[in-house]
Amino acid sequence: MGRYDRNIGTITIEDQAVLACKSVCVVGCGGLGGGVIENLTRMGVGEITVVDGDVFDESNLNRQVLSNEENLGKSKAEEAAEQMSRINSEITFVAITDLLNADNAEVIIDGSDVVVDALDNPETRLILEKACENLNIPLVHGAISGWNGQVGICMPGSRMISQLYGEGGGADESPTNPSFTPAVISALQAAEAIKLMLCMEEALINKLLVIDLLDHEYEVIDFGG
Amino acid sequence: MKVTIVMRGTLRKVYGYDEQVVEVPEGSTCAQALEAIGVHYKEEPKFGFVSVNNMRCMIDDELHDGDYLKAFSKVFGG
Repeated sequence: MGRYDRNIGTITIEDQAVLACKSVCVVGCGGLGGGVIENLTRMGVGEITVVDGDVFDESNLNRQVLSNEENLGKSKAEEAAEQMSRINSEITFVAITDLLNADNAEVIIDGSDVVVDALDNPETRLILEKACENLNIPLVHGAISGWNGQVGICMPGSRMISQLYGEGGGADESPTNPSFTPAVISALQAAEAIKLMLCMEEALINKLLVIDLLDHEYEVIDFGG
Repeated sequence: MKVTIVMRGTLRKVYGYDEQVVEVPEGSTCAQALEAIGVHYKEEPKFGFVSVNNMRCMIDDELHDGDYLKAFSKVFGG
């Protein structure tokens, strides 16, 4: 088990074997998705489906760990699968180079034990929440903006995403995203996904951890359900 | 009744304060309490959601004396 030696103690050998049998779908391979995918790869999740219809561009280089000067213009999903295969060849990677939409969402996530929301817009998040609810799959939500981020687990029926994005004002400008905010939030998303798969009661079930890295504020909001 | 309104994230920077105690009529909603301090959530592009006493609630839910109303900025990037 050499490659997982440093996992054991944080999780058990039995837990490690459980992870090897699990399947996670990460929707979005940008700032959040790249970090989530790398963490799940190194943790040893058995199958990881990576979904993104976009290609890398220069503006991604400040924060998206899968981007580099050599792969600009290349598919984010395919790059994710290729790079992660070099880290852990024991894992099955499925790269989907389509943008998730209402027509393909359920087909893409079907069979996953956990879905990770690494998207960058509320509209697609609402589509993903509905698909997860229809297929009874838990959704690990994450989002970032500047110094702020949030992460939580949306269980089917909780409608956390609908509650989060249902009553705000008009569209804001595109958020600024430095390197460290997606690094923090994506690591937390990966941790919550692992807790879910290992049925750990400490997971943020229907709760949202809201983080302000500038003022060092961390608080958990209970979404009930 | 008195409620404490707390601004979080970017909203704090936009409105220039952390928290304040305001007097609002009995039966006031979260939206009405925010309006009382000049926060018009429908017109505020940075507005995300509200919680009361660390429980998520809807903007039209009624407040009670002593409640802590927190307004969070919208966070949607990835």
